Amino acid sequence: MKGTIFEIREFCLQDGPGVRTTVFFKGCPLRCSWCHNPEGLSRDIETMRGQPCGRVVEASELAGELHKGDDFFQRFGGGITFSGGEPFAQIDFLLELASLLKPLHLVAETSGFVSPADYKRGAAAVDILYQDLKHWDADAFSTHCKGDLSLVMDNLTWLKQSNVPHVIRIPLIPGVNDLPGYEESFVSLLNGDKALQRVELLPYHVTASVKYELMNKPYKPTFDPSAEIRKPDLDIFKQHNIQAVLA
Amino acid sequence: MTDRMQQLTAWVLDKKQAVWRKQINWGLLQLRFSDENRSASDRITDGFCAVLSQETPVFLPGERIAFTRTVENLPEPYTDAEMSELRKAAFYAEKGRVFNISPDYASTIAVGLDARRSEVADRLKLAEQENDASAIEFLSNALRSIDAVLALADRYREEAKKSGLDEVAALLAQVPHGPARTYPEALQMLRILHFCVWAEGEYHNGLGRFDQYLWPYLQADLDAGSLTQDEALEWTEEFFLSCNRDSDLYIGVQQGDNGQSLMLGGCDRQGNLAYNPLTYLCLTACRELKLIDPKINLRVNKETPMEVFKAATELTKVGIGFPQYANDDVVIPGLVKLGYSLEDARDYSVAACWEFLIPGCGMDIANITGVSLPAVVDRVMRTSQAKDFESFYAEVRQQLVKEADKICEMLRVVKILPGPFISLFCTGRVQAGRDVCEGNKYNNFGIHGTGFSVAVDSLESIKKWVFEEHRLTLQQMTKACDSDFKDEEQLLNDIRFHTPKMGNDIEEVDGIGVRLLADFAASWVGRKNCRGGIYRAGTGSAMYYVWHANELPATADGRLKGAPFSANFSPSLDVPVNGPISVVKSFTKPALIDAVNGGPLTMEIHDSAFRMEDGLEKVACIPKFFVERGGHQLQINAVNRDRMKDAQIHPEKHRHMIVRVWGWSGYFVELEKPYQDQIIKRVEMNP
Ligand code: SF4
Repeated sequence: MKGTIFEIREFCLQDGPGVRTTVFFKGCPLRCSWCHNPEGLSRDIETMRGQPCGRVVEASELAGELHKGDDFFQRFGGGITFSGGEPFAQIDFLLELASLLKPLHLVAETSGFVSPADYKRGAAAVDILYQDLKHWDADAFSTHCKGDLSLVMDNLTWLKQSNVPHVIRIPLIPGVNDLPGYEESFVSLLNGDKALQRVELLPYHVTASVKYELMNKPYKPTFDPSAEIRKPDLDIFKQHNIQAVLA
Repeated sequence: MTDRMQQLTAWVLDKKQAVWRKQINWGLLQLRFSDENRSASDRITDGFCAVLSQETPVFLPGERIAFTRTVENLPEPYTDAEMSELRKAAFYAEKGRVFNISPDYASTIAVGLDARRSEVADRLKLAEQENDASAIEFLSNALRSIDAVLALADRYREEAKKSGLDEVAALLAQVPHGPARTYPEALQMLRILHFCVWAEGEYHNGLGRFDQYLWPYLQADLDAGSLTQDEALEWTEEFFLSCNRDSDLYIGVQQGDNGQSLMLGGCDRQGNLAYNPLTYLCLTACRELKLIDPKINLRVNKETPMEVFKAATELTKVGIGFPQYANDDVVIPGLVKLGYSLEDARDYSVAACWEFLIPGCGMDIANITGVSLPAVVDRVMRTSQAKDFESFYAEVRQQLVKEADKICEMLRVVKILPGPFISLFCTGRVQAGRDVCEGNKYNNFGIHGTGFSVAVDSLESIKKWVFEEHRLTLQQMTKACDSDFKDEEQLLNDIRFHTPKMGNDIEEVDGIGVRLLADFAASWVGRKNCRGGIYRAGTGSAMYYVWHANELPATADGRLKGAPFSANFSPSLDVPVNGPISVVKSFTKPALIDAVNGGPLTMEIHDSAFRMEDGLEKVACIPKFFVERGGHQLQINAVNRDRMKDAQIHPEKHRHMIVRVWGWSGYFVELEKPYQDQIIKRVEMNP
């Protein structure tokens, strides 16, 4: 079947173990005001810098392109990472693609804002899941991301007791989630997490807005992008036996 | 780095040694040249001796390896008018001097100049008995040259003694008269010989396989306990630094383009792996110094241990573009295929930039000229009546042959001005009684194939839009190119964004690359040059990537008028690529064994990649992958602040520079200035 992607990028070193080739899926049900991939929001083919942005592609064709990296991955390790946008928003396409890519090592990065059924199927299709955690508070989540946090929380609850190896990614947004004691708030969400490998904290960067200009879209952050980010106290994670790294 | 080295480096970077420089008026000497109708060899030796006698011994504070140029300008053996007269009778490459070779300094370091002097004197006696006029001229000039070098070295020694520089004086008490016995002596000797070759007026000559010929000296010192590892590193750094003392006087197209290249690693003449502790010391020294000289090349092959790649990647990380990798598995069989002996081929080094050649016995003129591959495609596009791509391509092949014919015609008589002193470091020249300008064991000519990817992408575009889609005719494509695609926006768009380009591992277009390189190489096979050698095809561009590009209007690949070709063997500048894996795969498909005149694939990796956990190991996979796929030469640039600064001024040169912005990667030049500044600042913040 067909799906929509907007980029394939090789040598993404942060998107999983080894050397990754990352496929960016087009379309996301959330609208985080700090989103750094505005071309990943809509499923439609758009224009960026006067060039077409986005491509509708058959899973088999895309798998063929990605398999060109096999000799590299077999020799040096690494694999394919599904990112976006929200890769689980095109779950059937993703599942077909994943089945065609196996036995390559697969990673998916998700916001968790998808139906529990889709979430479980997606999680089962990859070797490691990268789960975003943007906020612990439902109101804040709704204000800044335009979504219902309970859906994410349901999926997180399931993930925590599952055997799916996963990494939690927290984007640190100034004034949004770096509130005093925020480390504790995030840690409390991760109580009893069975297959958690580590937590990665990614500080917001003002350059997030650059692609909006390239797409002639307004960039309207719901926070002050230039504000200082409260540095995370990684020891708090450590005290709870959670390995945390600042990217 | 030690404090002493830091101070010395600061001194050299501040160019404080320039205060000792003096301009000499060589008018009288040059007048004598023509008045007395001096021979070329005599003129060059007269000039060389005059320069050395004008040299003043000077010492940078704290330095231990002496010899710094104080004479700023060298006498030219011929006036411009005389030179253009000479050029009427023969082709002289560049300045006409011996350049771009790798002298064998090692043999002289091992015996000393006194021994070389007797060798020359003995041979001269024989020449006199035989009444061999050319030998007499060459050998007497070689003798005069040696005497001039020894005289300057003696003055240096006396001056060092007088100034209380005991360490310097002690080294000069042994070398260059006698053989080097220790690593420091060997370095001082190498410095003197290399310095003098420049003073003779030869340029762009490399330092050869530095870690191979100097390791025995270092090993002996380490074994004897007379040097520690740290001291060895410091000596190596001091030698490297000495290559930067006079380099602003060394001519080139750009500052830094001076050919002070050296080669590390690889295998020995028997084919055994030849990495040694000095290989690693050199990588470390270069990394600590962060200077543009000497230029570090590293030979690798399938057997090369991962630790070598890692050490090399540590050097890549500092962002000065070193090392440049060369792949033994391709270069050695490639050289053998061209007629080099297997033992010599295993001993290959680089000349000034990337041209593979054999130290000592190679007198190849490796960058004698180039073929602009896009111009060949352009010419055929203008004249062809072809009805299908195969016929069109057949015409391209014929045009390549015609181009080769034309160049051979131009190179019917090629001469080089003599270099009696440098000939001492060219294998067998003294015994033969002949200056190296008359040739040596290998006398091949190297031909660059410039603008490779522009040519390949243009062929693919013509194939697709003219012959497959029948969107336009060849005449219309020509017209579009001539108008710089004015009023052809849609066509330009389709060519740019909907036509396969080399660098994305797409068989269709890469296949054209495979054919074009093979046919370019084939157009030179079987041709003999006028100096008893053959021709070697390469993928280098040198400065031609700008020159050749300027000679052309827009090209069928959508490159607009005035845009340069990509340098050497790399994707076209405005082609979006998925990343290094695809680029390596595309550019290792052609049979590079047939392109061993050299010319690297160049890549840029943002230096944040190196700082990530395991980043070094991951980046080190790229050269290893390249080698295993059969690439011939590779240069990886860690993109850093200075390159980004440069990219702000010259975005066209850095189109492929990828930066990690925040969770995503982007092309630096596409970011707005404030964001660029931001990233630059970030790089500055996280050294
Ligand atoms: S979930 Fe990710 S892709 Fe979707 S809007 Fe938020 S940041 Fe952007």
